Amino acid sequence: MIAINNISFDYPITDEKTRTVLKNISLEIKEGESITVMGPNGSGKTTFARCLNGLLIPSKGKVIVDGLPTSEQANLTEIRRRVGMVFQNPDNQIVSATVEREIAFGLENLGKPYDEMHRIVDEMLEKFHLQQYRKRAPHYLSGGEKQKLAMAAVLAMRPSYLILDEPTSLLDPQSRKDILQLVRQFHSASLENDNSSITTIFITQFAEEALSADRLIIFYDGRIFMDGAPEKVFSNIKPLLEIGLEPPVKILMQNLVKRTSR
Amino acid sequence: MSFSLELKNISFRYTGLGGSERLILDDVSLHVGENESVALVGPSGSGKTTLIQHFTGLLRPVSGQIFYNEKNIWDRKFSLSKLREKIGIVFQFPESQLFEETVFKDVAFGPKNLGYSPDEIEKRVHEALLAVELKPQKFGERSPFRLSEGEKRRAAIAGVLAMEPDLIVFDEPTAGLDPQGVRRMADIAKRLLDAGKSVLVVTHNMDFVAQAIDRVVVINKGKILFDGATKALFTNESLLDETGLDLPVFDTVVREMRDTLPDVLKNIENINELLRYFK
Repeated sequence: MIAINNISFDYPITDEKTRTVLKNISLEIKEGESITVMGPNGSGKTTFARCLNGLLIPSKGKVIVDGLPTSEQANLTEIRRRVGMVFQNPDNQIVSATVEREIAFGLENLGKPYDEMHRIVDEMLEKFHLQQYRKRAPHYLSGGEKQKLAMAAVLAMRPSYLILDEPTSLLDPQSRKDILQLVRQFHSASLENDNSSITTIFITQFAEEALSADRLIIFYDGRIFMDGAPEKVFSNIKPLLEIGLEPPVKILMQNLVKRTSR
Repeated sequence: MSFSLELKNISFRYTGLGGSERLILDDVSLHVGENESVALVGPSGSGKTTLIQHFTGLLRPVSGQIFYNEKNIWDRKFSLSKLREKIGIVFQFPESQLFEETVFKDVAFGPKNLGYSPDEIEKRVHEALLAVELKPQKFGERSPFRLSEGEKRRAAIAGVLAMEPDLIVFDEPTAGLDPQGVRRMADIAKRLLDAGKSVLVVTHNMDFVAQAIDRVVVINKGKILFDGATKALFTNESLLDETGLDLPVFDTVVREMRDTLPDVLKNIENINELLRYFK
């Protein structure tokens, strides 16, 4: 479980002034959950995500990952092993000279035996349809392919929690569907094996992508605006439109059909 | 201000480690004229970004020719730096290229390098910031690093507009933007078109295309499969299937629900009209 206890986060604007991006947020992320996070630009989603694996330490309050507070430096290595993060722009996280070495990089750092490492690299290349590029330098891949590689490299390390910060924003529709399906697959397949369940926290701007999650959390102005089952959250059409978010077109249409047939 | 960019039978390949080759563009021809709005769409890895890098000579094709206003851009006497004033490229996540102390200085960087007078620079920065909906008085003196993500992207776009290009090329301008940000980006594109500029957008976001762009070029595996009106593409189901392209979300849902929709709702044409019912 990740426990978020009353956290706030301030960014500096000038030397004297700060801007409070997260305001007294408390919530629990339970093992096995699949969560979608939405919110307008600037509502605090990415800052929140970066607090979950200790990339940012809250100005106030605590984030506790499986009993380990992120505020203690000594915990960070273990916390980052458990909480994997895929960023919006894959160029920010790819470090290796070839595709297969990128996937092996984290595994080497974890000290995985050679044979197992090879098996996992092959498995990831296959799952993400990257086999044909294995010897290629990552910067020769397209934006979408790089995003798949970034995901493959993080998932190779089998984190307990997987945070995806708008991983589909650069992808074509087909790759987007593939990635969503992979995220779902990693989430549900791992549930059968209690020891290695992957909890997913998926940040997106596409309302349609939120429908398949168990839980939808809406951020607005640094606070949690809504938190619940996606269909239920999206039924609050007016409040969502007022903060600049749009429920899925299908839900809007169904609502309109209901209203006009009355 | 005449503008014409013509690519004739362009091919391009990357050479990888150990001499392995990957053909990225395969005999591509494309013309972009004055005051046109064009979307370049296709799956990841289809060659979109590689293609736009040819527009200003950032990449040189292995075969084929490129003409700007009828002049071959790889001619020895042709000035590529002049061309880069006329064609501005806004790359993916342009905000990562912001570097100056203030928004004003960042936007002024290009015109300053070209040696324009302080008055001219001031005028260009002012107009560029207005074009991206950042009030010059409010944002000019702020640090670009302390803007919101959406504002940073618009500040970076202003830096390209300050060069006063005739064609502005955007690579994935809506990636990561919320619905209002997408709509704002569509407004920015429309405003550039109203000012007589040409706009070419590389995107996967068909909702954005439907809002702002008249002509679509579909590229797949380095070849152009379609070049025509946006509306014509949206009714070409076999091509959409073949290339894995989506309709705008609105059109997809309406198509699915067509039979169950009451008559009064059948004339809603796009997401903006739909949202009006909830105001």
